[in-house]
Amino acid sequence: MDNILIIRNLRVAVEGKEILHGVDLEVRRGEVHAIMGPNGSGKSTLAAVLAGREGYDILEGEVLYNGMNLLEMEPEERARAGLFLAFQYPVEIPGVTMATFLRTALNEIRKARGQEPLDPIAFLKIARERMSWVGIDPEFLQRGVNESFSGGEKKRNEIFQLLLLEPQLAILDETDSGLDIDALKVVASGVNRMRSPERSFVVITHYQRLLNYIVPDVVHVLYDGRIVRSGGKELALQLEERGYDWLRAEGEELVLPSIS
Amino acid sequence: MATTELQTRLVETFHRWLQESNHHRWSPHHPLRRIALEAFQKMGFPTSRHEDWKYTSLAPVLRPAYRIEPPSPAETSSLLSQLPALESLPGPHIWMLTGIPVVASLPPYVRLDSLLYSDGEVPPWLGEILRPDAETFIALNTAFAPDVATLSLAGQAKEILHIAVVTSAVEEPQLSQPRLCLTLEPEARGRVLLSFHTLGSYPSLTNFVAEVRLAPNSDLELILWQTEPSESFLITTVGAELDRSARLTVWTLALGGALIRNNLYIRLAAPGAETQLFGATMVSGQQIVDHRTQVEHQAEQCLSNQLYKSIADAQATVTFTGRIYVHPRAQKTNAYQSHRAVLLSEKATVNARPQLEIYADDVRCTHGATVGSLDEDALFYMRSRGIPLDYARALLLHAFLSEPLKSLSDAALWEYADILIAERTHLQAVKP
Repeated sequence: MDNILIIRNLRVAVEGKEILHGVDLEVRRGEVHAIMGPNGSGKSTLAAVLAGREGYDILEGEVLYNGMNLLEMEPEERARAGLFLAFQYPVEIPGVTMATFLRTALNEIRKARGQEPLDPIAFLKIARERMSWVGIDPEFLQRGVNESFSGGEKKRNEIFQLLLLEPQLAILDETDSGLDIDALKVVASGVNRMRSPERSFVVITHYQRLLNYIVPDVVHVLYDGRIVRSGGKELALQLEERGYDWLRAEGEELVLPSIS
Repeated sequence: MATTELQTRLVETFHRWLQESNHHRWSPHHPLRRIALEAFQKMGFPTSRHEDWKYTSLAPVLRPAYRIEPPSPAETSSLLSQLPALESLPGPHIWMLTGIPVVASLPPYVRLDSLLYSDGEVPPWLGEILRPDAETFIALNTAFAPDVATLSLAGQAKEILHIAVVTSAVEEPQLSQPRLCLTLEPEARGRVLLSFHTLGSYPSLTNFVAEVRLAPNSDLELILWQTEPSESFLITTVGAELDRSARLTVWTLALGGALIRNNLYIRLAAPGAETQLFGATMVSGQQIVDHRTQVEHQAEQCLSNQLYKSIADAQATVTFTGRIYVHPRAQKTNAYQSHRAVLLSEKATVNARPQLEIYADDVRCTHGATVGSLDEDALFYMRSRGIPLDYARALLLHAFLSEPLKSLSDAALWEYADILIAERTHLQAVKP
């Protein structure tokens, strides 16, 4: 089995403060990995670095995506190579319609895959179909990107984009936060529909709840900038029961010696 | 105040006209002209020490040796054969050729009077909304305008009345002083497009002045179209007085010209009057665009709303000065103002000055001025979906700048404005 993503000893600082202290992670094609951890453990930093957001200093380490040096690629190159980030806080872009935004995005990605661009009619057909999968009104295509969307609509819109762009590796950054149980089920069913031996997921979450619906192959615990524990889906249940505090003791034992 | 060479030549010219002319109609002997000349002599051209011209230097504007004389009838006829093609705009109904009105065709709801065109008179209220002693360029236009085009709109106009203001500087630098008076009859609804153009490659200064009277319940949409790339100078002053429940909407699209100064003086003189002012400006190179708005709430229950957006690139400058004056009797006033700007270069400049003077208690008034760069989060969001950076930028700029024009009621004009903004923001050029 080949790895779609390999992270080795990734150390990242933001404004001079080290957030990730050496993350190691391997994700194989077709797998769903969950990364859990308390607030401030570096989950969102990891997602941002993988997607290519500016403002993060790579101190050490490497990230291989399909064998390519991911950290040297521009964000748009990563997207065209099949990487997708579902944002924790999707951005509102008033005045740029969803239709313009998504048709441009899809055609850029299709071009990179060697496919023909879609004309507006073909685009609308596929967009409407995928919107129906996550219960978004097709009328939203004529609205500004995320403009005046509710919190739940924004999250469903992220999953709609996942369904439309069909990435090889999707990173979901706290997609469950702020969702009620019905919205959570819609989001999870969208993700499950996309699961395939060719596609991998990294699901970042604070809570175990989402993992009832998106059942992971591997669960990792990110704690204080390091992955301190990895296991099967039962690890998520353990965390749900015991919280993160029991890891603190172990984490500190694990972490402290290596700092000195 | 330093007396410039241009000022001296202007005064000399006026006195020469006095000697040469007969005493008819709008001759230099007209009392208002002489009052205006005196006011001009007293005020002179403002320097940057003048508060209203703090950010915009007139030095380059006053330098060329402009011809002051308006075109002769023979010159006007020959100009008619070289008029610019205004391809995507509706065909002009009226040309103002270096200050001389020439009618192409008039819709039935419009009446035009002009000294030269219809042997008319100047309206008795000329100079009342824009008093010559209020400002140098008003004084100058009042003293020197070769004609006064007086338009009266009645009924419910469906089509846009297009007035193309053209200054010809084909053989020498030219000073042009078109003057317009516009009346909307009670209940009338009208749409007027004022587009500004130049002919020839010599420098020109167009000093356009319009006085607008809106009778009760009338509704005017006025569009100032300043999109032609040129090295010309343009100063426009529009003064409007709104009677009971009248509505005035002004859209200004300022993309072209070396220097543009737009003065909008709006007086909400009776209860229920409403005005909406929208502006979209994009400048690059050494361009200067300076918007000055003044909304005076004289009566109660009036509404004013201003939304201006600007983009400045290279070494260009945008200035917005928005004054809102609420008189003590203007209770239940709603007054809003917003200027938002994006700077694309470290050498570009944006000046924004809200000036609020409120003397009534029951007033809702907000104002805001922001200057920023493009939204980095939005750029990253688009790039993370595979959209190239330069296209993402253009999409954001285009969306930003077209917002104030979205309310344009004429679909064809909106589409054309949208295309021009797309061109200026390089949206098509960088489209993947």
